[in-house]
Amino acid sequence: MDTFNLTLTRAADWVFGWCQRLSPLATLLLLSAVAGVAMAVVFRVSSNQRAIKAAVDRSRAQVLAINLFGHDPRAIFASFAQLLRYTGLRLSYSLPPMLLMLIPFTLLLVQLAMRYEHQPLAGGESTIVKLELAPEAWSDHQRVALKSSPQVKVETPALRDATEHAVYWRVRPLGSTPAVLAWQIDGQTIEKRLDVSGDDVALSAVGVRRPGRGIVDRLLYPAEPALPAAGPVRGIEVQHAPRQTPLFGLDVPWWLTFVLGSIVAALLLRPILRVRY
Amino acid sequence: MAWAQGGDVEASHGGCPELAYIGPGAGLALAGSFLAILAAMLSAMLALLFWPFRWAWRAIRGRRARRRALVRRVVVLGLDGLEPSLVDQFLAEGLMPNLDRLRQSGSYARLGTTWPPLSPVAWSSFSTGTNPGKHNVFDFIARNTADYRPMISSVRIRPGKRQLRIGRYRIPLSGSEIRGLRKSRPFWCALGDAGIFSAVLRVPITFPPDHFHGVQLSAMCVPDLRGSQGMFCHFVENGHAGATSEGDVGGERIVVQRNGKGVRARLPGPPNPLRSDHQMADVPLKVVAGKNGAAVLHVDGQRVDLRPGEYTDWVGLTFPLAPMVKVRGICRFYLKRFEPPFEMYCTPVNIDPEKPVMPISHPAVFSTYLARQHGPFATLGLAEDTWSLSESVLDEDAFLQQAYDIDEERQRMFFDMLGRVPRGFVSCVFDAPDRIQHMFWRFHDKEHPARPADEALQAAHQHRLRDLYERMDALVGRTIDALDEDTTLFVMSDHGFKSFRRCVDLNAWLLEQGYLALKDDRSTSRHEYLADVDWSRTRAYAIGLAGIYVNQQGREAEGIVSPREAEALAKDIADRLTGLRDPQHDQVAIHQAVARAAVYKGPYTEQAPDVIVGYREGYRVSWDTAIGKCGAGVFSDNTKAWSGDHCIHPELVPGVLFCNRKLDAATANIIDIAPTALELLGVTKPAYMDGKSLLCAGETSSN
Repeated sequence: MDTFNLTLTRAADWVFGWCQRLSPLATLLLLSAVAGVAMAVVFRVSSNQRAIKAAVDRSRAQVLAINLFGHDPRAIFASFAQLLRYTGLRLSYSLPPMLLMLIPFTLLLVQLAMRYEHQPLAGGESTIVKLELAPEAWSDHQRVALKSSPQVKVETPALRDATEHAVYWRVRPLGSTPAVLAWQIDGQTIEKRLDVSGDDVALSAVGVRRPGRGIVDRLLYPAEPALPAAGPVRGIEVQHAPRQTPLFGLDVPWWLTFVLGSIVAALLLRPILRVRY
Repeated sequence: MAWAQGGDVEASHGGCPELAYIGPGAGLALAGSFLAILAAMLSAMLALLFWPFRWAWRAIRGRRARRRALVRRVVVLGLDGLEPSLVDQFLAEGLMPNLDRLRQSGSYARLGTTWPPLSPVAWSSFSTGTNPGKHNVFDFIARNTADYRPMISSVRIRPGKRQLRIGRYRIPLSGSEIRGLRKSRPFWCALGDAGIFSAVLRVPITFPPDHFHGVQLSAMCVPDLRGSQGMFCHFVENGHAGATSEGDVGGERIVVQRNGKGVRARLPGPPNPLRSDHQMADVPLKVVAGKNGAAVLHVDGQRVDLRPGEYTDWVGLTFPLAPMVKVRGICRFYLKRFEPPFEMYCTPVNIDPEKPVMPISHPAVFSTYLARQHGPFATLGLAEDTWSLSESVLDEDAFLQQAYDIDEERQRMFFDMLGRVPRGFVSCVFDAPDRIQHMFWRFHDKEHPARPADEALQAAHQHRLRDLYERMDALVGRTIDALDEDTTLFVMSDHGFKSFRRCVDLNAWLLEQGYLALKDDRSTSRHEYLADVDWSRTRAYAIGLAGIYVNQQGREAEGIVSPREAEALAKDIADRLTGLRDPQHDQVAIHQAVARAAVYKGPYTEQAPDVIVGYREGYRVSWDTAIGKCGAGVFSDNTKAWSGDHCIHPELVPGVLFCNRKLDAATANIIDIAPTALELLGVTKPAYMDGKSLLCAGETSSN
């Protein structure tokens, strides 16, 4: 899984490298359009288009029927029942492509989230680091210490939260380049990358969490390899400020921009792609 | 946690809400479904909101009808051209159990038809309850008195009068005119006046559609996208391009170009009304080899599988007329062979019912509703392409398949209407009996000149009429099963059917008798539409199927017969035609010819042919006369596949009438159906109607 994540992240780095001359918003819109078209094509080939067309047509026919035969309340209710039936059918026909696209689309969104959800720390910007321990390791390792380094200043002593089995520190990167946080636990050195950049505009992957061994954790946070399975640490998080990607001057979440961009692209190219949703 | 600000520590990365989104397809499906439900809810709410007011208005308007109505619903199932003698035969043989049920429990009678017994005339009399003198439809075609050219008798389509010319384009500033020529008033309008809802499907001569309280799908005379009454395309590799027959129907032969991988051609669409030169809009098509002897058609961005000997589904086509201006049509393809010499048939390009280029239903969205509910369907007036079989472009099996496919489309619509209209009037006319009998009678009639010599072909098709009647009986059975006890069902045909063995060339007879002269004293004409007639010496002429016109002064552009003499001339011609014998077969060919005043009464009688000709069984007007030509002799064999007909004396070709209640139907006529349906639904017969109610004494609504 780590290799897979690494490969995928490098591939995404390569793609974003191609778009480095564009602004983050333009890159996002471009990617959303490409993804929208790609997903529309996948939807077309993996769904029963004939059945979807029939279900859509019949749904619309019921709306017309309500107007045409609206003189009879029974006809109205019958049409409405038929409409619900065909709507259910239509959604059921969308299930196979949804299932098919679930994993690739999740991976794509995770890669986008790594770049658009947060921005890297600026040099000299303080942040909070959270180290989560396994409940059974709390009593033995709650005194774990974050090593000081020339790149990062640990500004506060550890703050322990026994209910969450978590230890917190406030740290400050001293330079404008990525740094590494390190802990010594059971003779092993545990590290967490600290994404620092002097350029707050350029897109770069931000690893907000080094994941534990859980599949979902590793799927959602692919920037760094998973923590050792036998170790007491369940995850390490670094707080990063959210990235703003305003659209038409509005503070629109990046994922909404992406969703809208992909839908608009898929809709605009629908006649060319000859796909029915 | 003094240095931690609020809950920010835990909120560093609160999950991925975006993961709920799985691609635009699913998103659009969800959004589309939501919008459809929203639209339906709004429509339903509006409909329900206004329903009490509509109900109250209908109750006030229709209180008298509701009080007097004998049944909640009347259904008329029209089986065009069902022949009584065959019905009797198949009833006796036990092949039609459902019609037998109706006969036993209700009524069965001959149904008198119109002069002449043609579908547009007879169904117009059905709709209006009047004789043709009141509804103005006397034939499929009428002649233009200004230039003697034929016109469709029931509709006039003209482009808008005001146009703006910009270069080669003409921008219409006023709408085109589509004017119905059928006069009088159909009885569903009278029902609508009384607040009674009607669903009228494919009853002939309903184009342009009527406006009334109900829904209607137009039928006969709805043109194809080219504006003709049905022009098919025959794609061939060898031969010459051009029309396959004379006139407004038939086909166009298109020569394809073969390259290494396949063949290419262009499918013609409508003449472009936005261009000064009316250049034909068209779409390119390409056919390439597929697997296992099949082929693949690429047309208008679509990929359509073609299998030899099979029809495709309806294929939607878009013809560009100008930037941003397109018209949509639908057609079906039938690949005959892909290997050289390539051959493919394409149906006439029908108006797309989902987005019709002209009104083919009432309300206009009704055809859209039907297309969305049941899929694309044939909209052309004469939907079954008889010409393609007449010209041997399609074989008998392919034609039959097409006719039954159209029949199934219509059945789906009909049963949908039966389900949606539990109260009021529902009618649908099925054309398959008419079209199939026209084309297959030669297999039924052992004496027919067009009967194929090939015994295998004879054997394959000798039971087609029997199959057809059994199929129609099954339709009747399904209909009966779909009805409640408070519904009166009529099953009827507008006329019967007989063999058409011999042609009578009325123009040749008129020439022989000295009523008509051709230019340069020729004995036969070369051109259709009376182009070779010398009008300065012609007193009478024939065009169409119904009869003969007097070349009358002040009426015809080059008339020479004074109005005073016209009536006497018509009578003279009628007298001389009555009893006309066919010397070759020593038979009477014309049973009776009549002056129009003898059979029509009403304000439009003047529009009728001056003499109406009633042929004997086995005879009909010749193909040449129908298109205004004059042949070599008066009598000739009919060697076309179009071998059965009904354009003979009406007494010899009545239709049938079945009903699930007892009727006083001994002298029933097609004009009686309207008054009967009105009375059953409690509506008083309008004074203009000629027909009478067929309800038995003691059962009338006044009682």
